[in-house]
Amino acid sequence: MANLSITADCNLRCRYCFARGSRRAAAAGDGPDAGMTVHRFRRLLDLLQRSGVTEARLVGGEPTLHPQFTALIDTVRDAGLKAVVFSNGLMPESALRCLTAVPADQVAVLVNALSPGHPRARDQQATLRRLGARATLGFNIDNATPVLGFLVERIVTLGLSPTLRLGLAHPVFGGANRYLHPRDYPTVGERILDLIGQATPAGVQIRCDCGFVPCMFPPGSAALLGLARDDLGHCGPIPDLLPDGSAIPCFPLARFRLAADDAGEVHAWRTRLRAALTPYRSLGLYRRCAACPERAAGRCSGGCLAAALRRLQAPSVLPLGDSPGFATVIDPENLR
Amino acid sequence: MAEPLYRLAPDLRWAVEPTGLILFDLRTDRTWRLDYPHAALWDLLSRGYRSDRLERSLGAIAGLEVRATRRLLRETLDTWCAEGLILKEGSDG
Repeated sequence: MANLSITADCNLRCRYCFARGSRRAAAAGDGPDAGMTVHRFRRLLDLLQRSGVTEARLVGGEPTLHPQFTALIDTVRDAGLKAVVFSNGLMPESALRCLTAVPADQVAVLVNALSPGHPRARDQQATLRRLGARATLGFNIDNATPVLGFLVERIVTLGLSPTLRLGLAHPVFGGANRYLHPRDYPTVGERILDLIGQATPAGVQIRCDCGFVPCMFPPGSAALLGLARDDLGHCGPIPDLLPDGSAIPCFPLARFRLAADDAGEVHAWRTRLRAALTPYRSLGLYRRCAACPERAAGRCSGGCLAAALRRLQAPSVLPLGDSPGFATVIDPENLR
Repeated sequence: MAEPLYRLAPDLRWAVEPTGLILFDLRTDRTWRLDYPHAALWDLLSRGYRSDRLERSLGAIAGLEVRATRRLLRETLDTWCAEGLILKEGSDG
């Protein structure tokens, strides 16, 4: 799998946004994410097809704001791929009409849910109602006391796909987005278990995105409540292919960018990106990860690498790459 | 005689682990593991300890007498300079 990041444009300003840096760069006109051309998009679809990938996963920003979004969806369908659109649900009418016209088995729209108090929540619900089973609801957890109770009800009442995807807001390495601090993971784990207790009777399955770790749940509880083994303990980023053809492991790890090259196959990109991350994999989310039996047994990678990297200390508090280093004076007379 | 100035390499980052430190060079992606007492010396350096306090603290941590402490300090700093973990003022990089 790979994500095609087709635009950095977005109509929300979420504080946890992983792609904020890309958006700023695009706004300044010097970033690689200013918007994918149809030509580039077609080349990347070729890359997906060569790689045996059956889905074109469109991400942003808000991908439906791409000026040629409907043409891109048509291109995906012409290529025989399923379109998977990661959206905030606040999309232009033309994009919504396009998506609702596609047969439900050929498109999926993963909509990041807005909390009930959000000023655009009603607009989002109107979109979800029209998308119906084409839409899968997701929710990003960026604080220790998330309000999750509304999610199951929204899925049921709007007739959405009976799966809820939960994500943790991870820190962007070298960035300044809001994120869920790892010390709060166990508190969030309890809330998720409560949510599962609510979702199961309603026929809604909970799936966890990357970065969830077994130790955020009471021992044994996650399996008992139906969380899949694959949902926990992994940090296996799905590469994001950017408008200039370059690739990053994910937006929180955008520092590890590979040069533009849309030859080859997706698994080769993934292998190269994994290799770039390998030197840092010894670092776990917590200091205690070094002695964790789950990690030693390969059942946990130590959590989100971007979150683990926040443990790193720097020579100074200046931003990454601008540090002059910390100076100290050694008296040579004392060394003799 | 002017005191040489040492500074931590600007692309170096480190994390405290149960048995010492792990260092990462973000420019080259190289990693190092420092066990104690070298990990303690790195920590003291990063806190800006001056030479006399550095030597005194390292001696206490490592349980060494003065001459042995100075030798350890000199050898370690030389090694770290050669590895590019710390930079001597005026050197490239």
